[in-house]
Amino acid sequence: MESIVDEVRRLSEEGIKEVTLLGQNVNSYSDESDIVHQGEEQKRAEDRLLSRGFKTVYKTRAHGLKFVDLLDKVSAVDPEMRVRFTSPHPKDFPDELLVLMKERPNICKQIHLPVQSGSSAVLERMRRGYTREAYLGLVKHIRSLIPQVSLSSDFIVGFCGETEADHHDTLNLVSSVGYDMAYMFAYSMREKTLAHRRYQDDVPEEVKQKRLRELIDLFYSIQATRVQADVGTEQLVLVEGPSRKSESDLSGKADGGRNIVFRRELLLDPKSNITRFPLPGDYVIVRIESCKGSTPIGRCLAFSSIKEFSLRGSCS
Amino acid sequence: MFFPVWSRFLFWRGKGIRSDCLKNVLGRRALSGGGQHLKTLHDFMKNAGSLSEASNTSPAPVPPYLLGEPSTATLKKYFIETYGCQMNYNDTEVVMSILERSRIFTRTAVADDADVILLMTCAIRENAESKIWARLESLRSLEARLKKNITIGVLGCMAERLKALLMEKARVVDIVCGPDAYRDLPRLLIDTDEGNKKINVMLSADETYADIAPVRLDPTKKSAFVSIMRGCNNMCAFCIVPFTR
Repeated sequence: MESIVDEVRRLSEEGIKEVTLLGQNVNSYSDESDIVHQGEEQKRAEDRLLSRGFKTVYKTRAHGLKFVDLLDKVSAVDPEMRVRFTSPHPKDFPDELLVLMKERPNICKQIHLPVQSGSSAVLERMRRGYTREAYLGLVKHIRSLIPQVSLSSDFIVGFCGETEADHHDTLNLVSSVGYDMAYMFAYSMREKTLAHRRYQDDVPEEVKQKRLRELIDLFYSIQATRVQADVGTEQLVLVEGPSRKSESDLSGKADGGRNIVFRRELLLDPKSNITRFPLPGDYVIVRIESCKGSTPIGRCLAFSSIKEFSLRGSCS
Repeated sequence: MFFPVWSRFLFWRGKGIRSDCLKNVLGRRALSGGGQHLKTLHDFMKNAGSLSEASNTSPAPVPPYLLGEPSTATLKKYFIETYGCQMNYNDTEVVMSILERSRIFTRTAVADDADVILLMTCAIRENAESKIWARLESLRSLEARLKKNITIGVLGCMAERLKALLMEKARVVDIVCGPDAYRDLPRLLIDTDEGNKKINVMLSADETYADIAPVRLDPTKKSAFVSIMRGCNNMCAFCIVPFTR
């Protein structure tokens, strides 16, 4: 764990304003290198480990420092450095982690929660370790703790044996959750996997593509509603640089991860008391005024900081 | 029925794969992953004569770093292209750090200038791999057009999944290197002028590259990735990742 914290500290000293912790199962992280920790961790083991209603195929190790411990240390390195993480598995969101995310202003309120399918029958064949109900319960629980959270998911359409009813379960789930981002693909069978050994890739390609089209259309119509709902709100944006489409505009990510575009304007820098243009690495408050497709467009109002913005009392 | 561009390579018998090289590597692959002490490049060069498992037998010219501080003119240029997930982008930064540290290679942003072209690949879906086959085909044309011998290396999950088959299907591929073997990359890359093909697809339970500070792809960006764990044991029915990382 120390090597990771040291790396983050070094990045902070170099002027990095945002780190994304990476791993295939980033929140299954476990550091068992320090034996001293094993005793205390074993006591609180069960509560610390999995989200409610979820299970794993491998034996979960009770001892060792967990992801929540790492996230705690990493986010404490620099309170003005944003911390994100990907890709997590839905099973690894115990309450302790959610509470930490809620309480730490520099941990971004963005959770990638890949569901893959909305049908419990398909989820069972996929061996994901949760049912539709457990997943929806987790979404509800996360939203109760972090109401402003931005959720995203992955979807595999046309997995072995998927019926039209299964597909509709997925569509219903997408409608009820309201994701801010979705990564949707048609199933592609891979050698060596359990599905290759046990099942048939029996959903015809044209059916996969039809279902994918339906999912994509549904998702984007829901996303448009959500983007529209942010119009009129003020967001804390970490400036990245000129927007891709126009040199006179700047862009950067809001806390939830959405890219915001705003016109490049002079703002008063309170630290130096001079007016200047926002630069990459600055935090600015942007009021969203409209949207172009799924991109919110706004006006920058002032320089700010994570601390200052969090004290305003509202995060969106 | 659509035949992808790489299908023409299906029956290729191959040029220049040294069978002793491949045999040694495949034999090593049978060892369980993890725990192998990885030597530095300097160790390899010091003991060049006595390595019993040396996978290339032709004598190397005196490498630049033994002659003192190398000028950039004598460094080999590498070009690296990344496909797939953020982990691959992070691994590209690790590879860049390993290559820079070897003091044999320097990065170029222009593929035409490169002595070495590396593809960091993805195997998650058939489409992801099709892109790579197409890219390899275009690299074959590039080599022909420029009339120079470029060392082509395939890294990442497709390398791990297909292993030696990659070289059989696309003769332009000289090096295959899986996600746990990047420390070995400088050794794999030197001395491929004589048509030696090299492969290292050993998987490791321990390799995390924790001691390697990734060289950042874009030093002007204010955001960075920090890899904290590797691999996946969940074994979801549809997913190849537990087999490649």
